[in-house]
Amino acid sequence: MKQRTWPCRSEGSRFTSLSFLKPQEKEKRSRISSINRATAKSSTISSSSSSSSSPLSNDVSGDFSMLPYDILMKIAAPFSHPNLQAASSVCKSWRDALKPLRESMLLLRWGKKFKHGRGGVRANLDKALDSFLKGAARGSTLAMVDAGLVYWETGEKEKAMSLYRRAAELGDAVGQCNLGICYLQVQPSNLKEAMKWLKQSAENGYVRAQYQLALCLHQGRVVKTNLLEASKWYLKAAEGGYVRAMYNISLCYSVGEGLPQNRKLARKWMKRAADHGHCKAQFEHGLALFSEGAMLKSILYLELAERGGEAAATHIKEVIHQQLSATSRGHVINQANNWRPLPATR
Amino acid sequence: MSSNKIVLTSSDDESFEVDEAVARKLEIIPDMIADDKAILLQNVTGMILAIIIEYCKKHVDDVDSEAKNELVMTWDAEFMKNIDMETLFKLLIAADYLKVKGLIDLTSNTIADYVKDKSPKEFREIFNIENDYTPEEEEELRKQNEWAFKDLN
Repeated sequence: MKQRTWPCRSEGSRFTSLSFLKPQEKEKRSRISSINRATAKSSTISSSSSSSSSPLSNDVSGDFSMLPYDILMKIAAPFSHPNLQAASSVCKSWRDALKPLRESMLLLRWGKKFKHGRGGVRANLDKALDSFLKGAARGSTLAMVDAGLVYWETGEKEKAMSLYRRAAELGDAVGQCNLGICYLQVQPSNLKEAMKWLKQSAENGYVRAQYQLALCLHQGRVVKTNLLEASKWYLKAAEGGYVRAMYNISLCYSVGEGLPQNRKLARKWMKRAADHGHCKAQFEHGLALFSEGAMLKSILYLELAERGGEAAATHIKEVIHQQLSATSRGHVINQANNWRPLPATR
Repeated sequence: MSSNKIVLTSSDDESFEVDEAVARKLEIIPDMIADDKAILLQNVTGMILAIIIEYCKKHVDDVDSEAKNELVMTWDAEFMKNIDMETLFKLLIAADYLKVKGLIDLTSNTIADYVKDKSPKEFREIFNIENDYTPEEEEELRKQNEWAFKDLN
């Protein structure tokens, strides 16, 4: 016969009632949700128990300072350090709840120092991983992702994916993107999972995922080609500052792929990509300027493209060079030397 | 599984008849569900319970190991969009209490997205929380943070 785990309120009652014990004092608030405490005290559960205060009613709506610790930890798991600080400053109860995450942040910083050998610390990948893992254990998805990255880079794919998955499920967009990419790259690949996580990350606004998603939809190797969707995500990523997406969206506009052909927008995005340092874009833009007769501007971009490795730029550059005076040539070299790409969202 | 019906009753006496499979998504409800066909949830109001049941009905066929498919993810996003912040919080607390795992994740992620990049003041406004810090305590937290990260920058 089955054991009853919850006593009935009374003999013959047709209800099984599950009641809730509200912790008496704030200091005694445990770090687990209240229901776990109730489970431990199942034998004394009764709504008329004198030791408990009245069951949690809807009046709790005003008292979110009393959110269970694990819920707060869950919400704040993907927070950046500034976000975490802000949340910790809300009230003391939140400060206490979020303490492990603040510790995570510290460990995360140390991990980064060890990984890149910064601030007087010698680079040490093992120590970096150790710090990241400790940070991950304290709940920050940022630490989980960095730990996953080290594992991935050292060939421990399964461990990497397991960490990425934890971060992804807690809503971390970078974790979601990385997980998606893992699913594309492992053998055997899991295209369904890859697309789901990339989509999730893209919807969360992570620019890199938006670009990757667009690529998948564009190339038609992962899923059936969907040019409409691909161009939509290229555009989002481009607007978010992802340079390769700027180049790709320019091409889309140029040939009318996935959206209506638009020379003006194609030029605009090609220039943007060029200004952000995309070598092919610099070449294309230089060419376009050349065909318009803007020689000096053209040659600057061609010079940059050549320096970036676009061999094709050399020939056209030579052609223009011959038309320029020595002063102009010198001026262009100067410009190219002083040129810096605009900051991008990689 | 036979389509047994279970009656879930809220704290304010609203009753919902659901399939057993749906009720089982509330993992707090123990196996004795077979014996008692009616369960009283003293700490969840009818309004919140209705939302939870709607979620459970949609997700009744979920397999834990698989990630949600795209259609369901879109549904989830829409579902969350239609709920205001205060209700979202009550929902999270109830979902946590009733142990509806998928909903806990979904709700906390939604809230996290919403409160990202908010200042402490904005947090307090959204959740109607009083600032119980004294200026000294606030200063102490700030200092702790600065000190801890001082060497690292």
